Amino acid sequence: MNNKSLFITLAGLAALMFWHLSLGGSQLDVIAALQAGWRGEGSAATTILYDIRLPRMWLAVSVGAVLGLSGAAMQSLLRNPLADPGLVGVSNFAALGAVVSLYFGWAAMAWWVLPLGGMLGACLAVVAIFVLAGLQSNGLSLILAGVAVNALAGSLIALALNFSANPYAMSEIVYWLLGSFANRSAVDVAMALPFMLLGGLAILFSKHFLDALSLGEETAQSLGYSLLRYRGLVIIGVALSVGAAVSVSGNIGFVGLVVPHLMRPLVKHRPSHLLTVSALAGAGFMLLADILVQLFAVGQELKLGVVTALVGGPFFLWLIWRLRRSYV
Amino acid sequence: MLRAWGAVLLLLLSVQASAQLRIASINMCADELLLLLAPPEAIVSLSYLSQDPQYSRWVEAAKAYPLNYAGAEEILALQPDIVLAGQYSDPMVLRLLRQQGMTVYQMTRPAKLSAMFDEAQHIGRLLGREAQAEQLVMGWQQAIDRLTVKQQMGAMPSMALIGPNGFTEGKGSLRDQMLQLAGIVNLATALGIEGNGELSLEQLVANSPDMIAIEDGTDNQHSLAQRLLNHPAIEKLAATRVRLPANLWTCPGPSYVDALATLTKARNTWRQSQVAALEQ
Repeated sequence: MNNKSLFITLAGLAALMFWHLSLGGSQLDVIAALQAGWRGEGSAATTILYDIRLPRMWLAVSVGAVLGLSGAAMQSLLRNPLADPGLVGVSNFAALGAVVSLYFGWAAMAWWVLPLGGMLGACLAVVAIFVLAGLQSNGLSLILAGVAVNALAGSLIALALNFSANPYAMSEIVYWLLGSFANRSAVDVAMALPFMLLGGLAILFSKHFLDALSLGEETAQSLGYSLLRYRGLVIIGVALSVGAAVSVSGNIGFVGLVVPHLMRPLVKHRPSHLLTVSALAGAGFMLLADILVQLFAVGQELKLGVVTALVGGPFFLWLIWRLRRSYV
Repeated sequence: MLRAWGAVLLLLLSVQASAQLRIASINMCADELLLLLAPPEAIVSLSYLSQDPQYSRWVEAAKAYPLNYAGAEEILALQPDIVLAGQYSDPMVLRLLRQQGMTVYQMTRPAKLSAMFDEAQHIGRLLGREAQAEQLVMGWQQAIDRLTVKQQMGAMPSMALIGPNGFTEGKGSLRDQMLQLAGIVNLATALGIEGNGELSLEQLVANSPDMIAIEDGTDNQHSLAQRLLNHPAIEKLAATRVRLPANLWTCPGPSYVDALATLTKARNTWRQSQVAALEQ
């Protein structure tokens, strides 16, 4: 990616961020409120912008980025175009971990318990996928393992919510399975961002390993990469970032699957470039999805997973249709 | 209407013929009216929620009765003559009970005080306790008249009612009427919300109400719906907090009188603080 296209991408992201900030339940002069808050003034407008809209925007950006990044990383690591945290059940297991820690009251003990639950769940699922599908997985065994892990996580979420004594628990299954950024606060950003950054850095640190891995395991080993160490690093990175992201936003599907596929031709199929580009594009895609959610809010807001699948699903079908000849 | 009266007539006849009506309730709000109106020996079962202090205000009084979980089988086994149910009770269960020849009455959620009074009187007739129902309603009416703020002098404070998920009640709801009686402007109504609805965080912050009543009756706060109420944007609001626990006005009935007392008091305190601020 050259400087010019990087500049265009960042400008596009900034525009989406501004558009995202300008949406909400009340009329607001975003620039004036930004300035007022910067000067340290407190008013209804600054509260709305700094306590409600900015946390939501930063969550959309960071969650979108880590989902795009982890999707690209898993696809490179498993050398399988269908390996996406959502599709193989990592996100759902992260949601399960978050559900258990939230509804049984553990999350109230310390701020890090909720993301920890998500990360532990995600970690469990990634390991399960590796064990079930094997490292030299073909598409079929990965998908079968993913379907099983996903179904298990989904029903365990329902089970956990059913066991919770809280009257609202069961109705919130929709949030955990489809995701939303509504009514998030700076507390949620502060809770998840450190782990998302850490996980993202772990993945980016292994980007040259993923390049080498695309040439085959032997090649990667002969280039001096320890398979065990670097695979572990990517797995931990995915678990940390997806686990933390899901614990504050629910399971938002399709981003990790569609975004790397969209970006792959642009970076000439080079994994190390794909990672950064997918993170940026994931952030943009997520901002756009959350903008759509708010634009089409009729009474109750749509859940994000609905929009990402509505946009991502048909596009992905078209992509499969187009690529079918080259795969067969 | 005729049929309803016919049913009542039949019931009255059966009361005279047999010794004692057997009445069961599968809804917490019906439990309350049953406890207030029916003779203790007529009550064969109350809903399980009547024993839950988070929602019920009648835990002590309800302890004397067997509980049910609104299952068709357990109600059938009790062989009641009359079953009191709620608006959202499982229609399948109610159909089964009706098929077995039981009189099933579904309470509705009243949207105004007069409807609440009618409901109590209707259940009174159903139970053959018109006089008691009449007396009960008269007592409520008097208490409400005493508490109603009559002189609406000066500015009226505004109040936001907000519960888990931003739940609120606007125009055409019983709670809205209570706020009116207490001389308070309901923010939800001012924003054009009719009946049940939701207040968004932004609406709440942008309109900055004078008072806010956060519904927080439950001990178990571990859900996203309830976490919303701890959002920093709500905590930053300057509004006076008014405590109205969930069990205070979940069910139409005498608790609404207590809710009105709380509201009127909050409104008077607010006025005094306004006067004090002016004098300074």
